[in-house]
Amino acid sequence: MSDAAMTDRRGRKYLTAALLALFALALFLFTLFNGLQ
Amino acid sequence: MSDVAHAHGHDDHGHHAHPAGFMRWLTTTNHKDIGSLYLIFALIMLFAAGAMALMIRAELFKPGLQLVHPDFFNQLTTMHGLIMIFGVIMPAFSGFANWQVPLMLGAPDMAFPRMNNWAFWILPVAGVLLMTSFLLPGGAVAGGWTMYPPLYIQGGISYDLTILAVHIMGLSSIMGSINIITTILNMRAPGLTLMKMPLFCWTWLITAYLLIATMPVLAGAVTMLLTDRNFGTHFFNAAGGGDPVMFQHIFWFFAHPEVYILILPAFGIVSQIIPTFARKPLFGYASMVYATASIAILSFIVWAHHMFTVGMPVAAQLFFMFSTMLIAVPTGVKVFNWVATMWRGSMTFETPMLFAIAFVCLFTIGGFSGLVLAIAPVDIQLHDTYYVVAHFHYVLVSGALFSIFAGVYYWLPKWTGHMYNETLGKWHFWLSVIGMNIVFFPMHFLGLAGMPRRIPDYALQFTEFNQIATVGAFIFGFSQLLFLAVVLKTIKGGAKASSKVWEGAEGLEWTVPSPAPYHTFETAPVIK
Amino acid sequence: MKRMGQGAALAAAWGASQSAFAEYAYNLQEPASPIAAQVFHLHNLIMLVCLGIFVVVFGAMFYSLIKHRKSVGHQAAHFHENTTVEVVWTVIPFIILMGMAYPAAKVVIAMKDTSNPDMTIKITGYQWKWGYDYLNEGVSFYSNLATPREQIQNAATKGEHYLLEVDEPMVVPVGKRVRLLITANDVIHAWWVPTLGAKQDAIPGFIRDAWFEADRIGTFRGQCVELCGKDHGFMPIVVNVVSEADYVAWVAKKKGAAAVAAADDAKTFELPDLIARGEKIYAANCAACHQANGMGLPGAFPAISGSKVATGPVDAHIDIVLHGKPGTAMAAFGAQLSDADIAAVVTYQRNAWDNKTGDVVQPAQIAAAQGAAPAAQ
Repeated sequence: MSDAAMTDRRGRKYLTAALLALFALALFLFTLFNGLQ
Repeated sequence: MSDVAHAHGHDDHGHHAHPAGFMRWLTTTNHKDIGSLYLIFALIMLFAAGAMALMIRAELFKPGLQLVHPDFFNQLTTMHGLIMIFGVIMPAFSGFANWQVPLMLGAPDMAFPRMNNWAFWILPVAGVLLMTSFLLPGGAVAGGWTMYPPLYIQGGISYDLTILAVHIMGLSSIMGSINIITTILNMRAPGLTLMKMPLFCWTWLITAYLLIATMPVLAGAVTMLLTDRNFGTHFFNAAGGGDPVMFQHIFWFFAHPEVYILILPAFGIVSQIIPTFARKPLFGYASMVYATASIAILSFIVWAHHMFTVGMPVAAQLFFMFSTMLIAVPTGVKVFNWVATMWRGSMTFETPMLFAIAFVCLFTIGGFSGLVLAIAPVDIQLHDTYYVVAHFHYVLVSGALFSIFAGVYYWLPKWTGHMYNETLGKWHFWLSVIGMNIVFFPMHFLGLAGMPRRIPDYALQFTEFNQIATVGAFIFGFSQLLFLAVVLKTIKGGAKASSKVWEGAEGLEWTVPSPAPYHTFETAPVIK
Repeated sequence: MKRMGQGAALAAAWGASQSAFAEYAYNLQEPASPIAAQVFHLHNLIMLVCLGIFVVVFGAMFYSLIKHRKSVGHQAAHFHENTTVEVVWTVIPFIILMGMAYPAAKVVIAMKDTSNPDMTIKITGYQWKWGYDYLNEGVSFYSNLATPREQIQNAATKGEHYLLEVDEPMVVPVGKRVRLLITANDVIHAWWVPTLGAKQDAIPGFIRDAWFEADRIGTFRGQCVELCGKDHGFMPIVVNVVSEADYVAWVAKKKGAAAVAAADDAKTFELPDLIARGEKIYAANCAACHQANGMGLPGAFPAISGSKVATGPVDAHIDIVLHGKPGTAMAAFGAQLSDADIAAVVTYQRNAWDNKTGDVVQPAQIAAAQGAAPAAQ
């Protein structure tokens, strides 16, 4: 890939955001279930 | 900032109308507008929480209860902490991120401009919830910003509303962090590799990851508080098979990384300012990146150093003591690198540089008291005393807050197009530095002498240092009015600022005019 | 010149007045136990290390601020990395830390070793007082703040041990290993006496242990160190370390007093006696929330003067005092006060301020109500 294409990846931004949001949600639920033990 | 609205140039938007006045600010998706909103919100909250601090210090001027009831005193200390952390420092750093990250990366805006708007506007909602809780039956939350149960279960309706406010602020941070990470990973200008981007972007990238990893955990913890209070659960109630200490583990798993969330952006700001005024590149850029990342990773395995008196087994005491001491290493590396950046530079001492230098020196003092506290046996004597109060105010006031002042003076000419008044800036600096030390240095001695935290009245031997601290607090507090005056004056007018503003400044933000046009880098620059 | 002289005289006078009773303590309190002494020395060691690092690093920085400035014509160098230097200043701090970690670990292990105690005391934190149970000797009592409210409200001169004095101190013999079993009744508190070097959180529903050995005779004072509500700053700790002989005498005295108190529960009292006794109980246990004038704190603690509870059916009044009100800060005093004390304080409340019921409550009524289940809340 050229230098130009490597740094500007706007097309992938929704995937990045979705992964991060999923991670946050998983942590929240994990905390709650951990407390239930 | 009204002149920013007119600096549209010819890249115009005939295809949609531009609202003005209140609607402009309510519906803006522009990273510069939103950055300003965060900063203005933080400034207002600074004075609100600062006023609470002055009430606290006024009561503590003499032994005896003169001004407030003990219960109201606890409300003041709790709210002062909550608002300073969630309403001042975090929003201010978010304001810097919004203004600077797209400019520094050559991006036209943040990745998700509409979510950016939402992330900001829910904050004043949370702020109103918190501030009005003073007027509710039973008063505001009074269990400490740490919200430990079972005490937290005893409180009135404002405790539930505070949980709601914490959820809202957490959501704001998570949305902001998703935005920042996505922007940094996906929208850098062509040729701007990660190891070429300004350190401020690195520190915010890492901070954003910390936020995403910890805010959900806090949300879980306060949700459990809410259900214990209202829905008959007993997560933290021993009589029902629960454990109050479990809350502390969950809470501090969030809150220790939180304190690094409160300081990493400060490291970033200072790392931009010192090279500019030393006219010399930042020393050891790569090490600074690795050190910041190490601090972030280590921050996940030290949380129980806030719990050394809880009664953990020996192995746990030792583990957390060792891991905490370890964080001193990458932190020290950063301090050495800043000094090495100054070394054999060609320094001038404009106000941003003054605050940055004070940061390096005074934050390090806070780091030393932190190292003392890391030593578990010593912590047994100092936990929950004024020594801890001294420690975290050194790192948060002369650390985080001073870096915010430094950043505002540094970038205000870029944002407004006007130079601030250097004389007034220097007055603000000296009054703040001297005032801050007068308040908080004696608190080390108070803690060593045995004065506990969170008490409205104290034994007679603590009088002298408390009086000194109170005098310092009023000096420091009122000096911030000077800062307000400087900021307002600079927005209204002042000497015209050039694009570069500072002789030694480097970076994409200094290639656009001052004030920065409403839309910048609509075509990405190419970085060699 | 004259003004300078006057200024100097004023400063000298101020300085003299300050030193008369000024307290400028800069270090930890003087240790009274081996652990406290070890911690004291450990802290001194760390302070020296920090001071050393501070001088070196900021000496360099201040030198640079003076010499490497544009205004004296210094030209900026261009270096921006040096791997050797970076490795050195990563490794050296690491070694210093290891040097500190070793002595620190030894003290951690010593502090946690509660084995082979000579005696054991169970300590319970309450909102807002401490309870002491000497498990082997069979002595139990509460320890309340003894500083009069007038001093706190600035209506009387503050005594020497303002806020650090109690009605019943904890007494231990010198030179004995005392194991502490620490818990709480309601919220998290923390028990701490700085000179003895012992601090432990008091967690409701759990028992955690700690220990100390006092190495000299004296009176040592501490405070609660975990925010526990309104009067967190008003529940101090006093430990009297005495000789072995004095300790034995004290235990005997406490046992005698306990017997007298138990006998009281079977007696019948006159109204004036109940009111006088009840007023003292009220001041020590109730006034903190419900205030000395019985008016409470609107929105937080209800008034007793003119209240339906204190002027209505006696049984309901006794029930609340005995069993408390779950979900609020109103504790169940049935576990903390004797039948005679509860009878006295209920009688007092029903005949004080605006309340003029003329009711007399005897210990026997309290004993009967103790057996009954608490009223539906």
